[in-house]
Order: sequence, then structure tokens, then C-alpha cells
Amino acid sequence: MTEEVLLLAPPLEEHARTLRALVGLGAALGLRGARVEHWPPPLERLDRTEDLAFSRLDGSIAAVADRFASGQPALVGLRFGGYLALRAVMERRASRAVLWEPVTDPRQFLREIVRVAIANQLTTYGGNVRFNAEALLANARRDGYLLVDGYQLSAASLDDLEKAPDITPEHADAFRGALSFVFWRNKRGCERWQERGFDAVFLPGVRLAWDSIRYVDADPAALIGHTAERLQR
Amino acid sequence: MTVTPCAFRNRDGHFLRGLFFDPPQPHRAAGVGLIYLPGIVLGYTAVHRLACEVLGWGARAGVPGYVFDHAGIGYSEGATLAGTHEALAYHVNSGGLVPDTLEAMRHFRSERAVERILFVGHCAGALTASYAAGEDPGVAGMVLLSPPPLRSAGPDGSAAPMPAEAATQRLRLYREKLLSGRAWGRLASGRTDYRTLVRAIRARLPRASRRGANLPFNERLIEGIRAVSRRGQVRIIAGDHDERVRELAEMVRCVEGPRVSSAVLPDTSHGFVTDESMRLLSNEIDGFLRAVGGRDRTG
Repeated sequence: MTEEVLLLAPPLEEHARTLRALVGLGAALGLRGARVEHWPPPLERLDRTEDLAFSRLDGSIAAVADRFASGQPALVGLRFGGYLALRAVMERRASRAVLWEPVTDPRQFLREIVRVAIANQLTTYGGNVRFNAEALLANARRDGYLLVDGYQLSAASLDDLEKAPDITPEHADAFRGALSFVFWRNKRGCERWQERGFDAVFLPGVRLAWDSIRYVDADPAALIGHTAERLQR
Repeated sequence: MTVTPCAFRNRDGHFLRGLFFDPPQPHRAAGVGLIYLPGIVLGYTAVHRLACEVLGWGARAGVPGYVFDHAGIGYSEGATLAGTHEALAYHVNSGGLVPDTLEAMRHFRSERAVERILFVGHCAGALTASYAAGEDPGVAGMVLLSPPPLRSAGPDGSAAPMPAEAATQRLRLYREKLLSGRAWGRLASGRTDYRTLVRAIRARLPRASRRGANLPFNERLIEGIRAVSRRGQVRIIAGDHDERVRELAEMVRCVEGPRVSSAVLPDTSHGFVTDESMRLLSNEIDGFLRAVGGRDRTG
């Protein structure tokens, strides 16, 4: 078992919807003898501001990683946390990562966030959309934040997500031995990494979702088992 | 205001984590404390976005605050409940979080100079607030945000009636999708949630028996509201586009009394997600603290 593991959670409402699965993973790895830390640290990221500017994120993750003796724990990242883990490995800030349904295209992720902000309007304004995507982004740059699910996502985040590169299997090829992928929803994404020779597994039985309250498997044993096994390699 | 992590062990030995929100020393209102009980059915994690805002407003008004994760929720210890969203909702609606809440109240009183407790509870947290208030005479008032007014369905959610506003919103969405090829594709391939579709249509069918006092209200919620109203204020707040706003209005009519009041906030959903909703909510909390004497005038 890799002795030091840092778990990277996704931001915004996805954090709330998936946190308990990461807490379950942390407890399971702890029982197997690993030292586990969470990023963001427990009870730290609670208010409604959110800043996904990479300079801040990298500093914040490094601060938690420094708590480990090695300073370079293995990473497990979910969704956008997976993108951060992937990025850390490719920038040689981490040597091993297991990625759960990772975001690989931040621009696409931003489009998903904007879609949620539009859906929020449907429930807030009785089925009406007052601001389309363009207007929402313009307002965000004026106000300094985009309001999504009640969270204030900083305008600097929008710029960074727009500019950040899409990470493909081709880009990450040199780090094939350091990366493992676990998917349970995006089968096509899984196949993409498998085709290039990456360690990627698809677990159709896992019922954990970040975009639907119908799937709240907070103790996904298969997910935890596959992850622990990969960290042990 | 200072925010301090805290924890206590509950009767089962589980470590329950939380946060204290303390006002600046000179402005503390004597003897009153605010506990926020979050809605939790979004995947076994308490959503603390509203808690931090509400407890921040309270602390700035001189009232110390406390929020914590119940056992098995968020970062607290304890086995995670197995099953579905419906099973968790059933557990909460049945009062499964009340024992931890009563222990948390004792912890808050022991750690801070608090005797009278004010609850602010959102969604399922409003149910837990009301149930716990029914069991602890030290609860001097409560604000219930978007409380689910109807009796819980079974653990599989099978008998849950869909609220009228929820049905209206879903049927509006279905209507929007009438010309969508992808939507028809999902319907044809069985990926559409037929049960929800049928429930939405059924909920919009006119049925006289659904009116007023005939609605299957949550009696334990009502009892808690009445118990607190005998010793303090109860304010019930919901958005005009909350899925249960019509049923909630009917319930408020049933529990009407001199110290039970309600407000429907315009352009507001169940989760209070816009800045304007938060501003209106802030005014409501401030007014409530003034009404119950919890607000320090110098704060």
C-alpha cells in the first residue's frame, strides 16, 4: 500500500454530492495502513466563494502535500480533482495518481458549470431563463463572480478554465506508468485511455453521481477496492 | 467573528465534527445561541453553504452559532447509511438525526455561554429542528427554511405524492422538450424516468381530497412548531418557486397562531441560490433575531 495519499475533491456542489465517498475511501485506506489527507482540508471550504484559479489551487494543494513526510503523496482525484491530479503528475509535482471520472477538458467543464447556472434559473424563476450563457458570463466578469448553485465562482476561475489545456492520452503518454483511471459513467472516456495503453477500468455497478441525487452510493466498495489495489502497485 | 473547528463524541463513540461561530467579545447577546441544521439529502453530506452565511449573520449580530455533521454525514464518523436517496430521506424524516442533535445542543451549551437555543433548519434540517425542539424545552425559537410539509414516503419513495409546484415545473420542462429529438430518443430507449413522468401527470389531475386539511401533513413537524410557538417565535420561510410552496402554505394555515408566521420570498427556489434570495433571507434572519431578543443592539 502506498503509505501517503492525498484525496482531491471536486469543487462547487459536486463537492457536497460526492464528499462522503471520498471520506469512505479515506477511512478504508486508513484501515489498510495509509496516511490520508483531504484537499480541501475538512471543514475548510465551507463558505459560498469558490476560486479555481490554478495559481491558488496549486499553492493550496502543495500546502496540504507538505504535511506528508515525503511531500509527494499519491493522489486520488475525483472529476475536477482528477484534472488537478493529472496536471500535478504531468508537471512532476506528484509521482502517482488514481483518477476517478476525471475532467480532462476544463473548457468543457466550464460549459457544464454554465449549464448548471442556467438550470438554476429554471427553478428560481419558475421555468424561465432570464440570462443566457453569454449574458451570465458577461455579468460574471462585471460582478467578479459567476453564481452557480449559490456559490460565487471567481471571474479569475473563468479565465483559467478557458485557457487551461485539454489533456489527452497523447499528451499524457510519457506518464502512462504513473496514472490509473477509474470510470463508472463515461465509458467512451475510459476506452480512449485504454486504447492508448493506460491502466483504465470501467465499473458500471458504481452508483455515485455528482449531477443527480438519485445516485448517492456513498460507500462504493468496488470503487474503493479498485483504487486501493492500484495504490498498492 | 471567529470560526473554530470543534468536535464531540456522541453516545455511540463517534466523533462528530463541527464549527463554532463566535461574535466579537463586547457584542455577545447573553445566553442565546444559534444552531444551524442543514439539508443533507445531497449525497450524505451536509451542505454548509447556507450555514456559513446564516451563522455569520448571527455572529455579527452578537449571537454565537454552531453547525455540525451528524454521525455518518460529511466529515463525522459513523457508518454511512446504505441505500438510496429515498432511504436517507426516510431516515431523516423519521427523526433519525434527533438523538445527535440533542447531544449537540448539550455540547454547545457546555462549550459556550448558551442556555436558550434558536434553530435555523433548512429542508430536512428543518424537520430535525422541529422534532428536536419538541423534545427540548430550551429551544426558544426557530426559523424553518423550506421544510417538507408532507408525511414521508416509505424508504423506497414509492408512496411519495409529488408536490403540485414540482409537477408544474417538471411538466413545463417536458413541454420544452417536445421538439427535442434527443428527449424522444431517451423516451424510446427507456432512459426516461417513467415513474417521475407518471407522478407529475397524476399530481396535476384535479383531486378534491388533496385540498387543505386533507393533505397528509407531517404531524411531528406540526407538533414541534406548536411546542416552540408556546414559548417563542417560529418563522417559516420558503421561496415562491419552492417545489412544495403550495402544500407549505396549506400547512401554515393549519398551524396558524400568534407566534407562528411565514414568508414567501420572491424569485427564490428551494436552495436560496441567488444573491437576491440571500439578501432577503439575511433580512429575515435579522428580523427574527430582533423579534426573539437575540440580537445585541450594539452589534
